[in-house]
Amino acid sequence: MTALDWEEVKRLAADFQRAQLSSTSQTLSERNCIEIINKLIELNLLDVIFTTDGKEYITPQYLVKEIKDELYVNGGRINLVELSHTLNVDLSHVSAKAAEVERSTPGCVIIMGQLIDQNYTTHIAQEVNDRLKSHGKITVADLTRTYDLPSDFLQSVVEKNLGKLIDAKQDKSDNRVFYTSAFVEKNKAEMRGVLTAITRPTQVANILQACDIQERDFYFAFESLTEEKQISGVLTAKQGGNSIFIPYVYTKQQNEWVDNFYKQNHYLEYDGLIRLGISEPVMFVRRHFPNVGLIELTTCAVGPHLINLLENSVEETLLTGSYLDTMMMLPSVLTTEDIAKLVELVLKRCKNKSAGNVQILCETVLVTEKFIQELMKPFHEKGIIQQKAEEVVASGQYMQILVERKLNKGGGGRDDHHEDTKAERREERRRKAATGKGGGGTQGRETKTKSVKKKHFEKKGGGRGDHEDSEGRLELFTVDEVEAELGKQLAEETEDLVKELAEQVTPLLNRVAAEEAARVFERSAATGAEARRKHHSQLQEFVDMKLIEIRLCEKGLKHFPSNGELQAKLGTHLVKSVGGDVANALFGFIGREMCSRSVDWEATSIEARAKVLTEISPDQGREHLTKLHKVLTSQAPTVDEFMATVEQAFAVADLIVKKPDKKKEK
Amino acid sequence: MAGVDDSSKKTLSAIPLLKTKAGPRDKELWPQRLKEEYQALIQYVHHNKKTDNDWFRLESNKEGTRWFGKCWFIYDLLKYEFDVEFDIAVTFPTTAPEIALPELDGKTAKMYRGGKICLSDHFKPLWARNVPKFGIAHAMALGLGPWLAVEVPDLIQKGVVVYKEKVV
Repeated sequence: MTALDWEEVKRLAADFQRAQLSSTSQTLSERNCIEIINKLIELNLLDVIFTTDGKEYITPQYLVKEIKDELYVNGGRINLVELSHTLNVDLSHVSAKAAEVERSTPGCVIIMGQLIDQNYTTHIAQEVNDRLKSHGKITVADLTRTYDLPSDFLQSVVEKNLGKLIDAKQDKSDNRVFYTSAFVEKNKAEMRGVLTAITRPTQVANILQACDIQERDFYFAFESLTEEKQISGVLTAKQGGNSIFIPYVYTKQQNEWVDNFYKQNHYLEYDGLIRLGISEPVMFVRRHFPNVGLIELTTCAVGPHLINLLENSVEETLLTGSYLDTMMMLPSVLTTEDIAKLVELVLKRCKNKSAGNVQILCETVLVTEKFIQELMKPFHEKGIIQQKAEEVVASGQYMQILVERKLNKGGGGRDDHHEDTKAERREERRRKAATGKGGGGTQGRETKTKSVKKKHFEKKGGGRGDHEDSEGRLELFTVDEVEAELGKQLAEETEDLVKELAEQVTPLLNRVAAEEAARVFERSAATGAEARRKHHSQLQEFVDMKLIEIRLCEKGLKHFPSNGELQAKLGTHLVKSVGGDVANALFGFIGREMCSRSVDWEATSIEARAKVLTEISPDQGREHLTKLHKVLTSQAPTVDEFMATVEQAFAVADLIVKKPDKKKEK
Repeated sequence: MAGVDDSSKKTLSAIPLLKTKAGPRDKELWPQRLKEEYQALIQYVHHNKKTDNDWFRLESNKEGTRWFGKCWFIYDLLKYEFDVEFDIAVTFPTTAPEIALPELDGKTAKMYRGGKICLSDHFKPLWARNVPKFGIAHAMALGLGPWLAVEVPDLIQKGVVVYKEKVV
């Protein structure tokens, strides 16, 4: 046992010696180490980098190695800030070393604080290719979003690998977009289908919506299809969503329609063209019919055929001296303005001298001077003018107007003359304007339009002048009357035309009638005074006779038993019958004299008397006449009452009540 | 002296305590004790090496009654080396071994005749309290170590101890 122990002691002693002899581990305290290293760094003997926590040092070479390792571990892309965190090294050192790495390693770049190596760019390119295969199209903007890298870099990456790793095409118009040829083909096929199916102009925006295709892709596909001549149509504008695709089919149809329409109708209506989808009809017409010689109006374009037709008709009208409603000849879409323009044009073309005698009524109706004369004929033939003239003279109206004019202006004769010259001058002017129009060859267009305008003006002015005339002069015919008369003649014409014609004809008629009236007046003026006197004496005679009759009857009445009822009744009857005759004669005379009313004095009734009364002015002796009238209309007038009033009433009319002639009574 | 205490305590914790109470006279138990002593020393040396504090070489005779070797002290980047020797008294482990540095005999007051170092006052009571747990390793760590640390610089300054070239 002890021996064993001693063996063990020996062994332990040996162990002890060994332990003592083993080398001492050379360790330095942390503080010492730091000091030593500081010293070394100070002396530039050592180049190390502190870690951020200050507990470790690394050499720059090692840092580079670490950066490279990290880059590899992170798949070729690492953020420098992250790197500085993971390596526990200050960012400044990391970025400095990263720059070194960038320089030394081919294909390595620092972008936006990120270190990226060749592997990663290749990886991007491969991914881009994959995406392109699945999506068909890719934009750099998309890539920027996915990779969070600047577009320039991605652009360069993609472009560099285009045709190598990436199987795609670059958009010609936008180099930031890439397509696979399959995608382009697909789009093209789709577009080809869609565009072929379209038969009417369609907004590109709508097409895009329907096909669920990007605008850019659309134009891209469209362009390549156009290059291959596989599209039957055009776009109104390059790019922009509101450009319109117009298929040739449609254009063709449109053109056909236009051609047909024009062939059939010889005019083109702008509204109609717009309805067809032609946005600028004027330009379209110009383009479409460049040499046809269309005349452009505000609403439509008119072909030469129509113009010729119109011209022929106009000439015919001029020759025959009738009238022509151009509205009936021209398509109904033309506005009156257009028609006026056309008519003007046609008239200009007509070399016919008689064109000067044409007037345009209702803006569309051509009326020759001859026709107007024609219209006036019936007035002459039927003797309406004559009748009117006589009437006006007979009623004393003419006289009255003459007097009035004298009062108003003084020197009626001269004034009359003046009026005449005025009318003459107007006529002259009209003629001048008309000749100007007729001899259109040498004169410029402007003067012609002017002349027409003037004419319009004149017409209006003339109308007004007629009015003035009717105030100063006498209005023998009103427009309405003439209109009614003309209406009978031109039953198939419109009211407007008739009215205008009437307006045109009335002053002429008035003038003729006025001349007629003047003639009648002159004729009657000689006989007028005499006639009056004759009337007066006739009346006096009549009245005398009647009064004698009354007196005789009165005397006879007195032989009836006095205070008998019969006597009174008979008296009343006497007054009402014979006295009424007297009064009627009186009123008739006065009515004619004073009120210029043509009253047939022998057929005057009680009502007529009342009428006369209302028209007499008080200073003309209305009071007396009223009294007489009252007596006659009262219940039971007596002969005495009648006699009392009749005397005063006679005084009004310069009549005398003769004293009872004893001889005659007997 | 707290620092010393601290470091000594730390040192103490590194040395395993002994269990067998036996002197050289106890034929039966002495090898057991000796084994423990060796084990403690080995541990201590290991610890010292590990902490870069190797400061002695020691070996014993076959019976483990006499120990000798070298110890050294580094001052001003110079290594001062001294021989060390001591016997295990019959009363061991009740009494501490008397470590001696014969070279320094008569050079310092803190020494008995024969170069036995004069251990501090509080070492002996400490040892007494820790019989039989303390052994040679403890005597070295708590006795000789502090003594050297205190006395050698003083001696060097006084010029009593001179640096010798070519010290192994």
